[in-house]
Amino acid sequence: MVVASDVLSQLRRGALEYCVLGLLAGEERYGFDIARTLGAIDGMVTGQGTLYPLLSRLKKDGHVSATWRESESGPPRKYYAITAEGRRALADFTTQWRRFRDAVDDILPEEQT
Amino acid sequence: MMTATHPVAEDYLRRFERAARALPARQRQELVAEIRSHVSTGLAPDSTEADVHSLLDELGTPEAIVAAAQPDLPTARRGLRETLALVLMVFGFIPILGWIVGVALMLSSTLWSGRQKLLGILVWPGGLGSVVLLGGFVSVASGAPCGTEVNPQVTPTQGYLTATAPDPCAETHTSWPVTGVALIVLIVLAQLAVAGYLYQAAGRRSLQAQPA
Repeated sequence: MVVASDVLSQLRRGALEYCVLGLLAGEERYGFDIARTLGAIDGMVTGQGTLYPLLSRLKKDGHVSATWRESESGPPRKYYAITAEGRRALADFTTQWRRFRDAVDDILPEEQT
Repeated sequence: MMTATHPVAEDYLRRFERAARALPARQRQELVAEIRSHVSTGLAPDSTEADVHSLLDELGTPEAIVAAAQPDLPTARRGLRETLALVLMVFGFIPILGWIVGVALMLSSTLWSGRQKLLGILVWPGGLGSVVLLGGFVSVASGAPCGTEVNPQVTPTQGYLTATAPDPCAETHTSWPVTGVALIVLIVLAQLAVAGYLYQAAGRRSLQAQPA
């Protein structure tokens, strides 16, 4: 199963940032919320903490913007919102992803049980 | 308002700050603030130790998070470019031109940091060729005739003055070749040491780039 887990981690590395953008497409969210939401999906992240460097990279690329805000119920939170450029990148990835997914699905044999 | 804390969480955050020292200051501050915020958001005043452990387990180890924050490792491996760069920078073969080609090759490599490249250029500009040239200067300087013969006799009243200001000519005559040769030997050794270090550094960088 070494090969399978390797492939999964490669796929995850490529797709995760777009999953974050996809999550932010609907509404802005703060770090903890993003980490918890993606962490709850099986096979999405290996450690929730690694999402923070990813968010920082997305910010550097101009795909998200971030602002610290006081919270009524705890410590200050950093809110992330998708930018116009982020939306373009997300739309582009979505098209390519669907095409790729369909192509792979077409070629792979039916699941054997 | 007071944020909830827990000794186990404090331990984790201290460990995180230690691990994060590998990062550039601005990135480190930002990441530490995020992780701090995450941990205190996830903690409630009535959190049990098991709750804290499960929160931190889901977060991942400080080392893993810091590793994810580090810039992407180079995909290049040490090869002809790096070897040729160092060989040309040290030996040159064609004076000056060889060294310049070596520098260009070094600058184009992704396996050295900016600081390492600077070190390679500064130790020693022109390579061994320029050291040979420097050796020429030293022998010319030491061969230069010395003006007048110094009279070592001093009167007791003059003694203080003469002792603190030794004759410049005598100084040049005896110590220039010694310091000059020592300097040249030092430069050659430093140059070889730097080249060896840079060769190894490139090897280490390319080793990291291989899949774990």
